[in-house]
Amino acid sequence: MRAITLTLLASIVALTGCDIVENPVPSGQQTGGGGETVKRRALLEEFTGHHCNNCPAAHVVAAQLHDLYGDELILVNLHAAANFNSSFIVPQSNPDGSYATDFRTPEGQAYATNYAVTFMPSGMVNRTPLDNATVLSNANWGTAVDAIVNQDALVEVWVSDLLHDAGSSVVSATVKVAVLADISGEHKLTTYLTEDHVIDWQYNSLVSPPDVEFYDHRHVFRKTLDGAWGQVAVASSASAGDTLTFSYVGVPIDPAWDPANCALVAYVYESAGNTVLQATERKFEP
Amino acid sequence: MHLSTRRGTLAAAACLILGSALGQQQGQLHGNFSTDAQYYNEDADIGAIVPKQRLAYNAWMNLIYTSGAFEAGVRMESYEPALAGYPAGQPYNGSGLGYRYAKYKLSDLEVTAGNFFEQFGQGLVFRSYEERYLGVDNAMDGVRVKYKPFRGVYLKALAGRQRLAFNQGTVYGAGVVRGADAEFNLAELLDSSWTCASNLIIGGSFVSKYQEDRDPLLELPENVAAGAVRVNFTTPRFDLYAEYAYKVNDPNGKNGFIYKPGEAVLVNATYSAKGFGASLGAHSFDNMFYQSDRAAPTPFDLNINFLPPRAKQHTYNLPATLYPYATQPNGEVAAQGEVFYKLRKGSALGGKYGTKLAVNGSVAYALDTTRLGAADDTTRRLGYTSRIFGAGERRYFQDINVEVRKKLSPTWELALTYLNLAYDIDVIQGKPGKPVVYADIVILEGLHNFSDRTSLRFELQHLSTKQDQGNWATALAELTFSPHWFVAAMDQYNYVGNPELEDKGQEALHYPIGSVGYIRGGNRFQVNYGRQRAGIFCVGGVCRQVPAANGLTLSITSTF
Repeated sequence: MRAITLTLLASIVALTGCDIVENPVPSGQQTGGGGETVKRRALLEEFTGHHCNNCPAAHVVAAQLHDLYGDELILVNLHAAANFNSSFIVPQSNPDGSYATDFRTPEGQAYATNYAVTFMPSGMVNRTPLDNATVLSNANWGTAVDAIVNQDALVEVWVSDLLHDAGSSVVSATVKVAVLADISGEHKLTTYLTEDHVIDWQYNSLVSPPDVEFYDHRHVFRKTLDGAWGQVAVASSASAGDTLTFSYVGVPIDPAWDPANCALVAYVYESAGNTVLQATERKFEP
Repeated sequence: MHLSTRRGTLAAAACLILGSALGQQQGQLHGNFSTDAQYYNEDADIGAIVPKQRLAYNAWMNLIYTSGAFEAGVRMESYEPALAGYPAGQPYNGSGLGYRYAKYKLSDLEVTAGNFFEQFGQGLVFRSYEERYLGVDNAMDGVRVKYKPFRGVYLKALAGRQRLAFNQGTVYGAGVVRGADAEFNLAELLDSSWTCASNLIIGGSFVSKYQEDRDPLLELPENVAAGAVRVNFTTPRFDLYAEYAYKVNDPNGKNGFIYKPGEAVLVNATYSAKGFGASLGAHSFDNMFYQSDRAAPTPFDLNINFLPPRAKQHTYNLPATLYPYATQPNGEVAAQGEVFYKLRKGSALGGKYGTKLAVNGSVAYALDTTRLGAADDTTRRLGYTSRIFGAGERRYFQDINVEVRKKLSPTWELALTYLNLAYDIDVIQGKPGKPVVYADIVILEGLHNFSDRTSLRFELQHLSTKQDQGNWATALAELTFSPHWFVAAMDQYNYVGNPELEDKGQEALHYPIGSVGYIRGGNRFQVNYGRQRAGIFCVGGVCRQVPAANGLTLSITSTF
């Protein structure tokens, strides 16, 4: 009897265990991508809010990942939550004018509602599930990004022409999609307009006092050029070698947005599962 | 997902049939059913949630088959869709199998395969449990072995994954949990050699979780262990319980990916005698979020451990749903004391029937920490330094309450309660920048028996505060016609100093709701109609937000 007990306990200890990490930051970090084949780029759509106390910590994670992956990672910050009136995102009417800016957008709200974004900071990486979840906490972004950028791309997408007319506040662009492997099913193209370095209030639990007046809001989603869910790029199938061209002509933009910090983010996704196959970013002023 | 669910259903059915076939004795099947359904109305005044599908429901059915030492069970669940704001963590969608298990007991060995709930000690390193109405369910899926090698010695070992969500069937988390527990009951172990009336129970636990490290920025521990030791000394009148837990480096999304070990200590002492009872307890939690997925989306998901709250769990509507305390696993130091005294019948204060007096006080502070500088990544990643029971300056919560309960006559009983609260709503409810709420609450509860079958219970509650939503008043009346019927009406009235109401040009807001219930045999039906205030629903220090709603609710529970 005693032997059985001791064997049982010994087996448990042997089969389990713990790892003590002495050096948390590895010296030889691996970056994805590279090689001669075209790799997928990762699109991180982050759900954030100017009164979300933990969101600045997530912004740091996104920036660290961008430092690591460079152009292989495209960042977009959506000020949106499933609850449109969430205190994290709703503008406020404070006497000092803090948090008065309304960063919310109808498209961002559509995404947050569709993906049931009930917590933030959170984000989607190519709208691809990781461990059964599409909306991920910032703790999982790195894992998700690393999984994407090491995969071969089925399509390539790029903004071949981009023209901003400051006088009339319109933007025109041409987006091209090259099919690298045969694909079937409906695929759509969506093009975002983002504005970087928007200086405004942010509640930040990392600093004291937490009300930061001149916070650098990065990669702020402003609008889409073709609706929340984009336009059909491939109706039923496309063959390797096909190149598709899409033009946006005279799309109005808010003159308050600083064109020096604006960019277009275009991506192709499968309509059935919403998985983003490939994404690209082009700044107005390189 | 559908395939795995179908396989799970077939396996569960096979277990039931096999159990029936193998059973040496006549088998028994029993179970229960419960559902909560709600039809949602538009109600802009209270910011009511109106889902796309106006009718939502949660439903569960348990079937348990027993035959001698064998037992098997399944639970079917349906959320088409789930009630608004439910569950606390990751979404529940669709219908399917949520829980299935088979279990047998042979001599001193008990084996469970499939889903199970378990707890080691008070749960500081392991507790798998379900709080259905909270929407918390971290059931294990794997195997569990319980063994009693000697009288007074209890061993447990388990391994498996935890329930994360529900999508046409249970969705399990990414990590694997393994654990073992041993407990020694000296009075049982020493039997006749143990002659005193007291008893000493000691125990120890070891738990380890495994999750693959795929993070490109950090080197993360894939195996994270935690251990705990506990002691429980009991006498007929006195009980002392203490438990200490230690967790190795567990960088995760809740602690900001720091590599500092976690620690938890709790001590609780109680004394009871005829007409008198007292308890005193304290705990210190430091970096004790312990989830089987280090990137678990919310604090409600995949918790391996459970940190009990050190605050009174109120049942009256206003204190229970507006400002309840939720344990802060990242760090808190808390204490609670309670005294109960019954003034004797016939004494000057006790009167003809005696008077019950209860005084309770609890307080929770932030942990006193010193953040480590950026000397190098390794040091910075340790996060901060701290010490056990080292309280910081920030007070999260304080509750001082007094209750006097007195029977006035054979047909009348009254209870008067006063609470004084200090509540850091910024931390506890995650409302950044909101000031600390200071509230005074007075509650009068009465019970009048008109006859053996008919009684009236009523509550009058008032909460006054200058912060948050301002003042509230609540009136409740419940009329019971035993044994089958009851009707109830309640109104909550938010009438002073609510900035949200003032922004809308409203001065006050009523939340009326009426209920009718019918109980017969093992069946219970209840229908509610009216407004439901946005608030907090807590069980055991775990709280979820409940959105405002207006509509019709039907609840059914049934047991066979």
